[in-house]
Amino acid sequence: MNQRVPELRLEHVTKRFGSTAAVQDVSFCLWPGEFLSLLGPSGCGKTTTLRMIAGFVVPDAGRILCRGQDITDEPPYRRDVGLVFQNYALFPHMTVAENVAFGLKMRGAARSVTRDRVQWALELVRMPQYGTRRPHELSGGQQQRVAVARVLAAGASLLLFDEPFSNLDAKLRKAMQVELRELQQRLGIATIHVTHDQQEAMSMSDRLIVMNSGQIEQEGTPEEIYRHPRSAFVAEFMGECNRLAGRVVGVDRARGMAELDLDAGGRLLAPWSGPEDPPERAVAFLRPEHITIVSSGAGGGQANVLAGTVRRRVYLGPVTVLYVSLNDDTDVLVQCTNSLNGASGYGPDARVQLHLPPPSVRLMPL
Amino acid sequence: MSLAGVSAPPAPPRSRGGAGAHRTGRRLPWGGVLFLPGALVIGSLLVACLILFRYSLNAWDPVRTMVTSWTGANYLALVRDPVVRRAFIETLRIGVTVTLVCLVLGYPVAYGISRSRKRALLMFLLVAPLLMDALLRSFGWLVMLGHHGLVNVLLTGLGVWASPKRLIYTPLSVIIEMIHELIPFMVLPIASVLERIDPTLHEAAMNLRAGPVRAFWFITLPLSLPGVLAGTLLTFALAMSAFVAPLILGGGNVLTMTILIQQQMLTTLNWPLGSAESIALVLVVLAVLTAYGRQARRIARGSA
Repeated sequence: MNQRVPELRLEHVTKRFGSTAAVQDVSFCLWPGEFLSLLGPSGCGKTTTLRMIAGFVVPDAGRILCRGQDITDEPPYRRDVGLVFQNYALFPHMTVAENVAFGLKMRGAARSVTRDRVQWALELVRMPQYGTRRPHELSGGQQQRVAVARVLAAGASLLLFDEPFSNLDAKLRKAMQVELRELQQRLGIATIHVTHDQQEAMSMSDRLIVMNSGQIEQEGTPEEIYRHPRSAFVAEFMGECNRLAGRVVGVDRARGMAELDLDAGGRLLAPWSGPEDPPERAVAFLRPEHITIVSSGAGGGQANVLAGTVRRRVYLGPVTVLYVSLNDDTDVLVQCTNSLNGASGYGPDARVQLHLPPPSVRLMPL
Repeated sequence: MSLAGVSAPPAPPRSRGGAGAHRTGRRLPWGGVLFLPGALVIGSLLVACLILFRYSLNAWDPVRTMVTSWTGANYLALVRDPVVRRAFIETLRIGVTVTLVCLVLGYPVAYGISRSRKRALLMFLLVAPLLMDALLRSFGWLVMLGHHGLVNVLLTGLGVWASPKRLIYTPLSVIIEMIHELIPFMVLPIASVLERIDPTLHEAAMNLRAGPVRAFWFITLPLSLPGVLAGTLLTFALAMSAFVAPLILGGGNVLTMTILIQQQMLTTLNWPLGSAESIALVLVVLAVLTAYGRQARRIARGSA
C-alpha cells in the first residue's frame, strides 16, 4: 500500500470562516480505485473539505496533492475532479446530451470524439435513449445518472459526491447506492463521498473517515469503525449505542479487564488495555445487538448481568428492539433477532435479566 | 401607452421537475371581485383607445375643428406626411438607443446587485430616482447640461473640451435623461432573474473546465435572457412613449411622436390627426414588441 502513489492526498488542511475553524488540520489519502466516505453530522467540515478538493474553497493552510502534484492553488476549472452536486446542478437550458457534452466542449474535443464519449457515458448510466430530453423532464434518479455521466464524460480522474442521495426517496436511494457503487467498481475510479448517513456510508465504502467539528475522529473500514470506535462520538454516531456511566473500582492488568460499578446498579467487567489506569469515572458503550436476555424474573448479582423492566417493544421485521429500564430509569436498548418462530416474547412490564458480554463493552473516559 | 406583452419576468426554468405544479382546488367565494380593480384600469384604457380610434376617423376643418365623419384621410396623411415619418424615425432611434444603452449599462449593475449581500439597499438606491417627478428630473438635467452647467464646466475645466458645447435641446440630452429615468426598469427584471439562477450551476460549469468567463457565457447569460427580454420590452415601451424629456430637454428641436401628437392636439387642435398618430404609435410599438419578443424567446430556447 505504501509504495503506491495516492490518487489524492490532503496534508494538514485547515480552513477558517471568520473565527471558527470549519476544517482543522485534516490529513488523509485516497488510494486508486477506492471508495472513501467522509461521514459526520452537518457542520462537521465534510462539505468544506469536499469543496476544497474541488477548488471552490481555498485552504488557509496545508496542501492538496493529486497524484503527487500540488493542486492547492489550482482554480476549479483546472482540476480533473468530477463533482456530483447534491441537487445535480444540471443545466436547465440544455438537453441531456448537451449537458454531458459540456465538459468535452470546454476541453475543445472534436465533434466525433464528443459524440462517441457522450454515448459511452450515457450507456454507462443506462440512459442512452434520453439524450434529447431536458433535465426537467427527468426523475430525480435519472437526473442523478445524467450528473454522473456528465463528470465521467468530461474525463474526471476522481469523483466527488456531495450528499448525492438526499433528494431521493428511500427505495430509489438504495437502488442508486448499489448502482453507483457497481459503476464505480467497474470503472475503478477513486471516489470521495460526503454524507451524514452512516448506513449509506457503511454500505458503500471501502473506507470511512468520521469527522466532527472540523477534525477527523477516526479512519478505517466500516467494520473497524463500527466495532472499535475510538471515541464516544464515533460510537454514538455509528448506529445505536447504549451508554452506561459508572465508577471504576478495580483493574486486573493480567486479564486486561476493568471493573465498573454502574450508577444504574450492578457491576460490569470491561476490557481495558490502555497503558494507564482508567480514570475514576468512565462510560461503558455497547451495541443493542450484543446484549442478550438471559432469563426473565428477578435475581442477578453476578457481574455483567443487569435486571430491568421492559418499557417498550418495537417490532421492526428482522429484529425487535426492546427498551429496558434499569433501576434508575436508564434505558437500555436491546436488539433481538426475530427467528422463524416469531419475535421475542417479552412485552411491556416484563422483568428481564440482561447479559452484557465483556468483549462487547467498550470503556471510555467520561 | 399600453404595456401589453410585458408581464412579470418569466420564471427561470426549474432545475428539478415535478414538484410545485400542484394548486389547491379551493376558491374564494368572492374571488372574482379581486379582478375588478384590474378590469377597471384595463377597461378604461381600452375605452380611451376606442374613443381615440373613433376620433381618428373624423374629419378636420380649420374653423370648426373636429367634424363627425367616417374617413380614412387621417391615416393616409400619416403615411404621406414627411414630418410624421421623420418623427417616427426619431422616436424609434431614441427608443432603440436608450434601450441598448440601458441594457449595456444595466446588465452589469443587475449582476452586481444579484450577487451582493446588500441587495435590499442597492435595490432601493436604484429605484430612488423614480421617487422624483420626471419634470423635476428633466429640469435638473437642463441645469446640469446647460452652457454653464456642471458637465460643460467640468469638461472644459479639465481641458477635454476647448469650449463649452451645446448639449441641451439636442437628442443627446433627451437620451441621457431617458437613460437615467428608465435604467431601473432594465435592471430590476434582470436582477430578479439572475438572483434566482442556482449558483451551483456556475460551479458545475467551472467543475467541467469552464473558466469564469465561459461559465458566464454558456450558463449564466443564457439563463438570464428571460430577464433581458422583460427589461428591454419595458424600457423600449416606456422610451417610445416618453413625453416630458423630449418636451423639456428637446426644447422644440427634438420632434418625437409624443411631441407631434401634443402639438396636433393642443396647438393645431387637429384632434382627428392627433388621434390617428396616437393609434399608429401604439400599433407600431405593439408590433415591434411582439416581433422582438417572439424572436428573443426563440433565441433563448435555441441557445445552448
